[in-house]
Amino acid sequence: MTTLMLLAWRNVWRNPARSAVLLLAIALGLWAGLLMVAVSQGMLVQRFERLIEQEFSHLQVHHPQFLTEREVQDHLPDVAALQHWLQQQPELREHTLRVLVDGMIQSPALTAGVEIRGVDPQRERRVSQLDTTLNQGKYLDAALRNPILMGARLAEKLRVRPGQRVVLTFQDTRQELVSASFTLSGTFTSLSRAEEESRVYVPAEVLSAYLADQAIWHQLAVLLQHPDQGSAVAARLQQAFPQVQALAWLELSPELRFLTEMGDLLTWILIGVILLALAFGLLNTLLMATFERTHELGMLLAIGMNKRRVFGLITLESLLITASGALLGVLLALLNINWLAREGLDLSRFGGAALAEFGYDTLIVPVLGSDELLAVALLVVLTALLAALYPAWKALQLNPAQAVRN
Amino acid sequence: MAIITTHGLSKVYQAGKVPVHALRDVDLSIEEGEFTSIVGPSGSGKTTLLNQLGGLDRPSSGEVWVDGCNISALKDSQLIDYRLRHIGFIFQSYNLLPVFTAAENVAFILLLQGEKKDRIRQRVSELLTEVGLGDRMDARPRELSGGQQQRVAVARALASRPRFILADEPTANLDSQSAMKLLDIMEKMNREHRMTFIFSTHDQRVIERARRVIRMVDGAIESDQVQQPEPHQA
Repeated sequence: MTTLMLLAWRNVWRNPARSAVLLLAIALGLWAGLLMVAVSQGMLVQRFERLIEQEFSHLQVHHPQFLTEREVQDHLPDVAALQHWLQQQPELREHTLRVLVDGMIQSPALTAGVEIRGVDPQRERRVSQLDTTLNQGKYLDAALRNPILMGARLAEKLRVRPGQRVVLTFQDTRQELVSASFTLSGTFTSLSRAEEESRVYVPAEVLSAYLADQAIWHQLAVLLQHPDQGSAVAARLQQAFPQVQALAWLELSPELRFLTEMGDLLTWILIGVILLALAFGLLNTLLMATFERTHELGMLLAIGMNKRRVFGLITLESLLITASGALLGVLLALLNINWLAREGLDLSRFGGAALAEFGYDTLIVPVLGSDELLAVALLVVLTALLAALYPAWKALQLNPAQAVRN
Repeated sequence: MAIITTHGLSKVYQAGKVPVHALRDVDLSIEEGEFTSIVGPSGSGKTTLLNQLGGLDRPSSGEVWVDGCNISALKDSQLIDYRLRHIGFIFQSYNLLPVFTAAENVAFILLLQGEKKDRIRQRVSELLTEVGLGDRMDARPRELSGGQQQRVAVARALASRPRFILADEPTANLDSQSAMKLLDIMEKMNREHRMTFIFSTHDQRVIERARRVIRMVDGAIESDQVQQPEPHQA
């Protein structure tokens, strides 16, 4: 085996220019492919995390009719028991309660429809990182009477600045219209244009007091240790509390499900294209190398090198050149991805604004999982083996008597 | 004692729709220790006969027996193993592996046979010294002259201690001096180790040194003569 390996390695470098070109092609192909995979994965992961943080959490609990009817009186029953049950679950990371109501916002300049979210300021910041998205003012300032946070775009439309007042109008549980004055505490930015133009946050206790005689909650948002735990915890919660509706992010958002599935599919399509190109490059080189060495391969068969070894020799040559190129390509890609993961890939100069319109970050942090890397390594080896099959088979068809005289 | 015997050996090739009779009913016996030339014009069947004796090709009819074994009846894989263990080959264009050194080329066949490394090292050194290349063991084929490359090929053929060596026009690409030196070495191996050599050749110098000359015409043996080889003038 050692001799066969030595012979294969020296055969690979017999035509250094050709082998170097092929090796570089494999290395550059893998580098470019892995980088593209990492960037697209990074974009999707960031989008996924943002949607989880700002919108869906890993699991949400509502009154069974709330998501379809969105009526203010469809609030959660047994909130204390729900919270107590959740605290017992080992998967729990954070949770928060929200009051949700649709209404109108009015400033001296404009009136607009808004989604009003009543939140527990401390818990909310731990679940949705809302305080980190402020671009003006303070986060639900407790010193203000009826503080309100709104999207920067909405504030611009309403032409209000922190410290100025707006009026919110909404329906209470008795279906009476209620209007209340709120003071703008700060404005936030969001990757979602719709959210920045139509969502406001107020303290839950303030909103709840306008809506009903006692505290009411419409949504329990839960973050778990891992997104994959969502469905299992939702199912257990549903069993324990049949009077509510518990849904994991997969059921709450078809977009999120599509994002994760699409991300995986995109990765494998990219890898597949690279491997296909690699296979044909290898096949071409190995076929040329086999045809050029007909005489020599015939001699090896003549002096008694068995077909298994001749087959092994050509396969080893394919594996050696592919492994060398792949190693170089993976190394380059890892160095490049690590550097980009520290610095971030700023796409704002390359049409990043368009990305932002669709809710994607313009500063991408590439992500490459060890699973993907391992799978690529295995697929590269498999490709090298498959590409060697035809040239090796051609070598085995040689008639040694004819080959040594050609 | 005969080590090779052929019975009614024939080989017919198809050249398009025309059958070409490369060998016609050849009966032949080669004794151990012979130094035999197969001669004849191009297309007379010399190489075809050599290929049949070496198990590189299969006869259309007839049999080749080596040491009591009908090698024509062996399966492909058995035939490859048979060649590895029992037959040495020397080719017209040397056919050394260009990526290996002289020593590695000789060692390769022993490695294929599964010999131990220390024994291989010793045998390779002995053989290359015997063919006068003890100081060129680490040279690659491109660093050696044609004559030197053919001497490495002789060492390789001898390495596996074969029952006989088949040499297809071994001096065809060599100048007179290299050809004579090669013949000297092969004669010495024949004399000292009783190694059986069978050549195909056009080369009068080789024919004169052979002790038996088999002349072929149109795929058949025309004459088979034992002769007193002419002494070589060094």
